[in-house]
Amino acid sequence: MNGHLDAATELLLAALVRPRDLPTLDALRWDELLCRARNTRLLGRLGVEVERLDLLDRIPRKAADQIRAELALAAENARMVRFEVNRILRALRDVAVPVILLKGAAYVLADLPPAEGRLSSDVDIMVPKESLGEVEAALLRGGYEAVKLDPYDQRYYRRWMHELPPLCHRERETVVDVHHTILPETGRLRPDRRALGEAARPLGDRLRILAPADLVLHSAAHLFQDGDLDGGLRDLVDLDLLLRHFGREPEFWEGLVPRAVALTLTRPLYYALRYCQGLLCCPVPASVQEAVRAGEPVPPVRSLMDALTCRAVTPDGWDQPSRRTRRARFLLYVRSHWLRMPPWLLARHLARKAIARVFPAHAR
Amino acid sequence: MNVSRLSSTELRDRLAAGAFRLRIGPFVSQVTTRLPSVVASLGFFYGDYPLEDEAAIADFHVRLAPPSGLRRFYRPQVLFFQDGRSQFQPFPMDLAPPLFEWGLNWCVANRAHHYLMLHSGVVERSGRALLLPAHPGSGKSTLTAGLVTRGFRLLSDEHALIRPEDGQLVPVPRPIALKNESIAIIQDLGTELTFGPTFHDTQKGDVSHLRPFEDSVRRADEPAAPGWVVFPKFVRGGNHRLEPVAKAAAMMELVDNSINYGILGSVGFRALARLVDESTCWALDYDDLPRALDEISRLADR
Amino acid sequence: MWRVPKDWRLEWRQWGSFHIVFNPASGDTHLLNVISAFVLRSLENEARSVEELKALVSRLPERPGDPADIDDLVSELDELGLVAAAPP
Repeated sequence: MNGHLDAATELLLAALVRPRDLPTLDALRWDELLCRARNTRLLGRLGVEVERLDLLDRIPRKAADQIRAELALAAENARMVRFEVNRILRALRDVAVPVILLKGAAYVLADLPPAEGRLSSDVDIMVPKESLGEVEAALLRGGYEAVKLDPYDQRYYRRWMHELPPLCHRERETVVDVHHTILPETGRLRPDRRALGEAARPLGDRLRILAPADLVLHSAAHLFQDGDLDGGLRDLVDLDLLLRHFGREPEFWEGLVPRAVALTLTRPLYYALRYCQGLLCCPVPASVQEAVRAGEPVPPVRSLMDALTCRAVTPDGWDQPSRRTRRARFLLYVRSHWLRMPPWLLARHLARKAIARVFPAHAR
Repeated sequence: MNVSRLSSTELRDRLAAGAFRLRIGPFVSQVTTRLPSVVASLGFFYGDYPLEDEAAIADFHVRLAPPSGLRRFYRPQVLFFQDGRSQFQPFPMDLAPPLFEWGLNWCVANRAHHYLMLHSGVVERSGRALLLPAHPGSGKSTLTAGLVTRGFRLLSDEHALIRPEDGQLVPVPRPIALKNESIAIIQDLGTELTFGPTFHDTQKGDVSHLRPFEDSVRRADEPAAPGWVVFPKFVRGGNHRLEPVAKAAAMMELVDNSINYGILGSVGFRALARLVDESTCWALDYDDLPRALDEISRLADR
Repeated sequence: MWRVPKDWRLEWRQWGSFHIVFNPASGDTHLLNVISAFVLRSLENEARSVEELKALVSRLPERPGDPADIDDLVSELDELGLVAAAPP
């Protein structure tokens, strides 16, 4: 695979692929690793591996402290997502519409590996196009408001053809994105929305989740839409985790390429397998590697993709934007502080004083 | 080795090379800068602080530098970078030293989620911590500084760091930031106080920092058990009043004053409830600082 | 019928006649008086109707003035995400 990765990214990839080796790192490497992992929103993921392998006591104290702090953030994130889904369902209780949970929220509610150590709290749901109006109305009644988008976000939303703007809850300030399709209808790739819906599996009492192959293909399509890596290394890691998780069943591999063909998503799948293998050592059966060559681009395109991907997994901006809308924040720092803080840092302590008006003397 | 052991050349060179790792309480901050004002400020305020080995893991990687481009010369600005990313809007270059202090506060608040953090001043007497939660009009920094002049040990003027495992308050002693009239008021309390320069035209007026006493810095590894929580309110021309506060009310107030309570979930709840359980809680209305300090000292001496 | 959802483990503290409850599911912290705390406690392990709650409350020494307050209270608890409608 062509393409150059910087030392810190190599270090991070090695740590993700071989977490057992972490106790052998020296302080300087740890310092570099913690920084890079945090910037790519993968410190939580790393922390999960460290915990799973029971290594917290075998790595330097400072590394353990930083990991613990990040895991606390990730745990809170999972809580926020679960509760938000609970609230969304409550808002939609009188709306008889099938709701498919997508991406991060789906991973959390279905307890899939990418959910662990995750730091994104937006909730994405997919409903039939005809129901968009009804769903929107119900959510607005439930305390959500349309978010005003800045020009960057507007571009993103136009590109992805979301019909509804993201909805932000007035009090919780959490964001719900209502989709009716997984890819723009005017895009080159046009997966059949109905096929996705039909294959969807139940999730709990009232929700549905995409079938395993479709989860993978959705993630791949998003990541490699139009040939640029929109989500960075974090999203590639998610893809790798999904492949490993579902890949334990042979039927998954057997059905993957045929499903990609049916949904016209062979090109993104090709890239997904190529980079998960190349960068993250994902085990992909030889037969699948062969079959997916149906989606292979011509060599110059592939070389370019290699280079782009390598560049894309190295962070350079703040907060790889898959969502730059007013998402739920974590940290409100300082009410009375006099530094010119950007207002987008918020802490959610969500304290509420709920004294019921039973006795006048106890009124608020 | 302490910072004061470096010659001014060594200090400048280490900071320029990113080889300066400062330990402040439980945190190690790697600082990189070529700005002379910041170099001087670090030498001035942090002389008593220990330096970490170069081969050490840092909690924060802080850099202060001007933005690239034309603004170097016309109304020069400075940026605060943490972990390689610029965190705030640019500040005027002459506010670089206070930007370092504020920026460091932000770093702690943003990252130290292995502690429960409250926005509060914390001082210590007889091994027990006295918290002064912040809210507008509390004057917590002035009170914190005042109590330090009365012999209380400084744990922090910004952050109460509570260890969830044992409920202990962990020190993060730093220069105390005082504003406007408070600067003169504390200076008038006499004793051997060392102040840094006064910066004007900050968003809230004048600011000056008080150098922490060597004792507070030397004992930064000594936590304190919970003792008292005092909710102060400065009311000009108002009545002076010190009254007990119901614990349930104190708890709710502290939730509002917390930095990361919401992130810590049950752990945060239990840690905060424990703090309230193990402290006595008070509300203090005051308009005269020396009198307030007397009152609090009496409280802590009971 | 109403109840606190099955796997939500509320955490309680009491100081004097005030109760503080933390809901790990919502991340919210609430301050409740005696009656509200009693009602919420009653819904922690079983589903109950509002009528049932009114009957239980009426036997407390601190009787609320107006039974309709219990309707409001349950409504508020629902709004706050502490209880949810349970199937009958």
